[in-house]
Amino acid sequence: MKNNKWNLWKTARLPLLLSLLLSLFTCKTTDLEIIENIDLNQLADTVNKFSDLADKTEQQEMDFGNEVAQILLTDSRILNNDELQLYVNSVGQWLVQNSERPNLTWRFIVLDDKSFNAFAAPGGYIFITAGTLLRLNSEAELAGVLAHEMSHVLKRHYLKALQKQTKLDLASDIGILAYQLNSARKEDYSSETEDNIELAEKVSAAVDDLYTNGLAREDEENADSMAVIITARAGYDPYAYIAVIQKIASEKPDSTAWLSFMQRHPPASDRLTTLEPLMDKVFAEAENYQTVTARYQKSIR
Amino acid sequence: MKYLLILITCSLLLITSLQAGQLASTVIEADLKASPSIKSKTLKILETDTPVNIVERQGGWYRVETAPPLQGWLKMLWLRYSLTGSEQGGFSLLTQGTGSVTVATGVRGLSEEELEKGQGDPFAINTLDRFIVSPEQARAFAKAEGLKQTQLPYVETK
Repeated sequence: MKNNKWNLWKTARLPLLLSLLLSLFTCKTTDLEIIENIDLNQLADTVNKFSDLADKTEQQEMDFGNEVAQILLTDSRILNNDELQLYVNSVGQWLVQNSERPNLTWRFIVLDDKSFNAFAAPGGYIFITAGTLLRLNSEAELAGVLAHEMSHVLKRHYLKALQKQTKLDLASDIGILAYQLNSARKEDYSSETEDNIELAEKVSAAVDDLYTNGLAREDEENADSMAVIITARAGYDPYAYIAVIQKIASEKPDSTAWLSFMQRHPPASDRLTTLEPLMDKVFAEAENYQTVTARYQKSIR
Repeated sequence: MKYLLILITCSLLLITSLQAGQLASTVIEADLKASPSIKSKTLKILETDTPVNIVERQGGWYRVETAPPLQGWLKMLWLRYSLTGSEQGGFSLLTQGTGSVTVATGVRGLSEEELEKGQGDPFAINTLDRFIVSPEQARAFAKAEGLKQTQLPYVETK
């Protein structure tokens, strides 16, 4: 059995292995453990190399995320309330401890904005508006929203969508993405060839497009079901997340932005329907979970 | 009045409660239960689109009031909230507002206007390290409210 697996490893080409490893990236830790179980000394070197590459890619992902986060902040201001920022980071970091990527440098950022909104950037940047915090009732609901956004990072949804749109290869080109984005933002093409200018603008346009139109339906549904699980792992009432989606479903459609957005996305009502089998299957008897309403109310006022 | 807005201006406190009085309606023909359990007695069968008033939540169940004055329990997922406008109130430090822009999907995208408005501070992103909470701090934070970790795998529902 061991030999068969070793042969598989040996015959597979390095890029293939690498992309396999990267595609399994969300479970990086566990995957590497599995590999280590199979491997003996011969494989150790290879694994270390992969591991280094994975770390390098992770760093690139964070660099890229930093660029994207800066673009997102060209409009929005960070809420000037340190206590509240720390509170949201505490909830977020507790969720991180219950996720598959605790080693990313996660940042949870409250924006000075009244709308009902939250989004993420690759590498661990999670944004939530102050308006969202005002609409929520409990820490468990906040945890649900943060966990949903975290899921996009855990599964690299934004990164994969950008990769698809720009036709760049994830394994080798995240660094290029970040660099191009930086150039596009600064309109600093002095040392660039025309090809690179084109690429930079393509990446920049893809980012705009993605954050305007949102992610694919299945990414959203995936993030919904992951959010419920992560929330529950951390000890929060998973049904609080259902209440959040019910709130989203009840928001009045009062702008053209909302309309164009909704044309491309599943209504919140459908998201509830999609979550129903999961809730029935895993949380039919949801006990010993906390809602943490008092601390939340105290913290956001 | 979709929300019961309780304003208590007592010293410096401003408390807004959204818990009580949320209006909703059933999305399927639903059994109004005597207690929050599928096995409990059915008090009444409610038609699709029956309006109810949510009183409280317990796990996956809402205690609701419906006409004629009758209280009982419905599963959360049998209900959808009635449409509401955006909520007022806020942090004293909240200075910006997008006003007309309400990306009602919450949990995802930005509007075109927002991306083009450009009044923020992009470099502020690199000043956030002081808000990073350590794993130890996070564990203490969770423990303070009795949050217990459980092992739970993701579930494929499709």
